[in-house]
Amino acid sequence: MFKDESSYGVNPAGELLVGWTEEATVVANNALVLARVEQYMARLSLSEAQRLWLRGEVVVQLRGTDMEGEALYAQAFASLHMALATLTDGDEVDARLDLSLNLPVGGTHDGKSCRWLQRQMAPAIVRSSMNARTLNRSWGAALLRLVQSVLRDRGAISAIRRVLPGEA
Amino acid sequence: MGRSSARPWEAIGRYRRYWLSTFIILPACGAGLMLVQVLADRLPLWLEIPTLLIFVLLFAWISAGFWTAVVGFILLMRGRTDTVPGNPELRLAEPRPQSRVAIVMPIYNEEVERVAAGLQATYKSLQHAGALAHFEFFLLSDTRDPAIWLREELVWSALCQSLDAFGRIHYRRRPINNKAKSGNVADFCRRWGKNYEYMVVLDADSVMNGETLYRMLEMMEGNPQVGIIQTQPLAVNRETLYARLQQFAQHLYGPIFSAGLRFWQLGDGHYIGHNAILRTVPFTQYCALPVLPGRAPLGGPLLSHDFVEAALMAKSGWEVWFVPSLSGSYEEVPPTLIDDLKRDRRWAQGNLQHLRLLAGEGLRPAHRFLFINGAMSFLAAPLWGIFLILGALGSLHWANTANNGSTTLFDWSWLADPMPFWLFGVTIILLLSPKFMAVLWVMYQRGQKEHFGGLFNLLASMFFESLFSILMAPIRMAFHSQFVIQTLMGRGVHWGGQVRGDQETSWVDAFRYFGWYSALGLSLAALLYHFLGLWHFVWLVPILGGLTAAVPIAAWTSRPALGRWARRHRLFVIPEEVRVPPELQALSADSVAYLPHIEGDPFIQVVVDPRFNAIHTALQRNRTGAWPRAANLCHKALEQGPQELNNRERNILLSDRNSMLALHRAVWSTADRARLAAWGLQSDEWKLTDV
Repeated sequence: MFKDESSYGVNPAGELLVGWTEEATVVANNALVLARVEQYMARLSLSEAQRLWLRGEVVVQLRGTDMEGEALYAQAFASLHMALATLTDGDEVDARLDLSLNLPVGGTHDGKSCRWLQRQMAPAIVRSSMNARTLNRSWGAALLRLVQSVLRDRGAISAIRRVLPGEA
Repeated sequence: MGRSSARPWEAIGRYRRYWLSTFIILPACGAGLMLVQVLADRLPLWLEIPTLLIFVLLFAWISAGFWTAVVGFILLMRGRTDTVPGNPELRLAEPRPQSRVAIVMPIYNEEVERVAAGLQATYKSLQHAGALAHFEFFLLSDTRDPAIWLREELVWSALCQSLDAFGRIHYRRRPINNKAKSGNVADFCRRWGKNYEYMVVLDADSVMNGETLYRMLEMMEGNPQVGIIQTQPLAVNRETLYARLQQFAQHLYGPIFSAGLRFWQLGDGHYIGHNAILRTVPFTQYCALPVLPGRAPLGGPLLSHDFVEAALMAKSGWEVWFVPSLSGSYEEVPPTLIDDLKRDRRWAQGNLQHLRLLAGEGLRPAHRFLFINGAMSFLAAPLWGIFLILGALGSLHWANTANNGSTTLFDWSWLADPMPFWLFGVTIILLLSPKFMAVLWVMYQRGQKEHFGGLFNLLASMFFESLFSILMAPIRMAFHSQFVIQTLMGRGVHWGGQVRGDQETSWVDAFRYFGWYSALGLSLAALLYHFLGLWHFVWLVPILGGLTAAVPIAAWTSRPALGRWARRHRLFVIPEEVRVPPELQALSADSVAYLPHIEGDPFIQVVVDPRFNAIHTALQRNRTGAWPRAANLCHKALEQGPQELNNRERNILLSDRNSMLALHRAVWSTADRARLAAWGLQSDEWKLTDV
């Protein structure tokens, strides 16, 4: 039996039906945008429940928007990212990172997966200096050192001789 | 500090080196005197003196290798390990629980999967040895190519995930590649050196056994006076004929040379820049490399850092030990002659730079000798070339004067011998006897010859390897001479990534690189055969033959198929192929098959793919200073497409977290089909529109 829109009011489930109709309208009017959103979500390892919830959030945000073109897409993706952020109770990048690393979304590292990953990548820096020391490469100085070492060795030998038994 | 003033091995080392010097100098002088008798009254002084000098120098150079091999052979046959006091192998101590070792792997535009496979193999081997608690890994990237950089990040995260090694395998990319590899390691020391008492430096193609790493740690713990312990990495894993020849030679002849080298060096050993453990504090304190005054190639930053680092470590009182008995240390050799020569080009420049450090105050004589030895590896080539030219001039002069000037320039028929036989005999003994000693050593060990494919195959392999060495010697001489001349003329070399895969040389490339030498060999052969006649010409065949055959040698030896054929016929077999160690088994391609692959342009993928973008973005920070430039580049990327960005521009965007997030959101919010297509997003929604 056909029912016009006014008859929904007497139905106990009327409010839901209103919502459904509105959603159906939004979906119909923004099919292209939602297809893109689905395409995006397909690249994330979302559970079916997460996917449906995210989609629903986007549709809700698109209700009543009077936009088209890039503005509409931008609105949809902003909504999607907000919803993703809600998943981790923080940042959408954290949510995407959790999904990438197969971690429970928002369930580890206090929802700060980006910061955690940075720490795993590189531990805290403890600086120390490493500077080249001066190296005297002069051949003249090397020759002088050689002469000095020869003279010193000669002196050392004479010094040892003085303490030989019977000479002390 | 563990530096000790009393070093019992020093007196022994000095004594041994006196003997080595005597063995080198006396026979060289004796041979020189004998040559004087041949040349006296036959050549003018201007020809005789340089001929003699070069001859004595080259003779001494060859005999140094010979005596090293003789000593190594005797030591190995006696079967006794070196019991010199102070030998780090004799004092092992269980590592303290707080002892931490950083295994650092500097990489530069490398094949990422191979690096990951090597790191994973070492990691698992350490895990198997139960020693992982002491070790952490650092991938130190100097990669400039954004595509490879992105692969590195992705592979690092996947590797950590798969091995559950987050916090144990670290990754750092340096945006500015100051001082190349040595600068990369120095940067690690500055940032994290304090956290790690020791560091093990690996090359991108290195693999090490976990137990060996633990043994090195035990040696360092038990010998607080030791600054560096260097292993002898074994060449493995290659399939081209050229690489298999190198691998075989290194496995067969390496042990006797290594044992001999260790006998002379003791605590004044060398460091080859990888597969070694270093004490971090003294390395940081004393081993920063000096920058030579003047411009490259002989001035500026040092291109070959390892020998200098060892010299600086020893200069500051720390011992550097080469321990060839440590097994389980592996590397890969360049797959082709071209790649080997490219590496030699860098080494030639680096080793010639070392000559400027010879007079450095406080350096130990053994390390000064290593500098000379390194430089001689390349200077020997032009010296040999000059010796050949002087020999030809001498023969010409001799011929003319013997006939009182009545002989025409090309009348050589009176000459009985092209060269004195004794000279030929002694040279052959010096060059070839180490090969026979090595074979004897293999035969002496029970069951070892089977690891080289059996006795017959071992001898056949040795014969063919020697043949190839003889043919390749003049090619190397020509190239090394060219490298030395180029360096002395001020033509430097740029730092480049190394070829790690088995890529064969095309005929076009072989002609491009070796065509001139083949043409030179062919022309000389035609010319000299005509002038000298068959008997004299035969003596020049090894030299001219090698030069003439340069093109086919380069092309054919680069073929993996020929290498595999040789392996099927049990030629050039090495023990690691007969009994493959677990850490090398873990290098197979399957072991890293799980790693994610990036389809298409990695820059596009990192912008578009929400997961990849998240990983990359998480690892970057906001570079506010770059924002004005980055904003323009984002605009350019969106307007003109990512293909219009060059690598430098991509690197700017990739380094900034904010830009990567902005680009990601902007691309997914684009309505324009053409722009979307440029980012690889053409899909379901198109179908929807078409419907």
